Amino acid sequence: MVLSAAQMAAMSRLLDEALPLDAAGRRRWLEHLPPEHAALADVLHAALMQSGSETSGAGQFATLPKIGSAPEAGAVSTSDEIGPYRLLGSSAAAAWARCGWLNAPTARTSARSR
Amino acid sequence: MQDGDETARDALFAATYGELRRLARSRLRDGGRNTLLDTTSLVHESYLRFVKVRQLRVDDRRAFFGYASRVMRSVIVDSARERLAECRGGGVRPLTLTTKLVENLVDDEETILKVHEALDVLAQADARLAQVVEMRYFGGYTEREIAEALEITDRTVQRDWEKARLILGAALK
Repeated sequence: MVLSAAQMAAMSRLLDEALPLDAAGRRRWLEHLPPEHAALADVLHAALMQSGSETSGAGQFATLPKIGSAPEAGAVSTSDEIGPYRLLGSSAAAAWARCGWLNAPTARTSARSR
Repeated sequence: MQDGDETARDALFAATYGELRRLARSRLRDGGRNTLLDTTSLVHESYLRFVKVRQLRVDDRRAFFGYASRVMRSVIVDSARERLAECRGGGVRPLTLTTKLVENLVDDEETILKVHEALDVLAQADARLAQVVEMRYFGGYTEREIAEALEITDRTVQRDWEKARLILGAALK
């Protein structure tokens, strides 16, 4: 959902009211949300459900993603096709650090063009 | 912080800007060994170095940490944009890919850019919330360090951080 600055400001004020409440209090608070904030009811409900969770929702910004990170082990396997190439095997020195190698014919890879 | 204060602060730290950016970019490009930029260590080391050569005074520490997190953000966002451009061809004729490999590679960079853009909007709504996110997410500072830099309590930082993450989570869905 695209939130405007005004909606973010309203959400900030409303969360100040709701976050200190327990689960039952939050449910009652949502039921009595003033009509002028009806457009935010769904996002507030979702936010309050996620509050305190470290595995989803609010937890998603806990750390900055790695920049230029290599794919996780198992992300690709032999016989996978990448563009006109098919992976034949792994190499300890494979240039996974950058995705640009896919377009570089001189890059060292364990792939063979079809 | 008022605009005038911020301008004065930026002028005070202007001499450190180039060195901070250079150090951050060199660590992002160290051959892929350190792809997760350790911004916190970098800022601490830089601060000590600037104090040693008297570009900063010891009592500039608080304000410098706030300034440095903005520099780190700009380096990280620039790097994410460059990598996305590379992954999308960088001027080379694109290939038709049949795996999710490249999609996975660009997810993290796109997340960083989306957070960066949403943070600009959040700054218009609540400047302190945005600054807490900038220092925590891009600067990697602890809640204690943020509290000290912004002269607020640890508990306020915790509340701001939770609230800001919930708002950004809603904005990025």
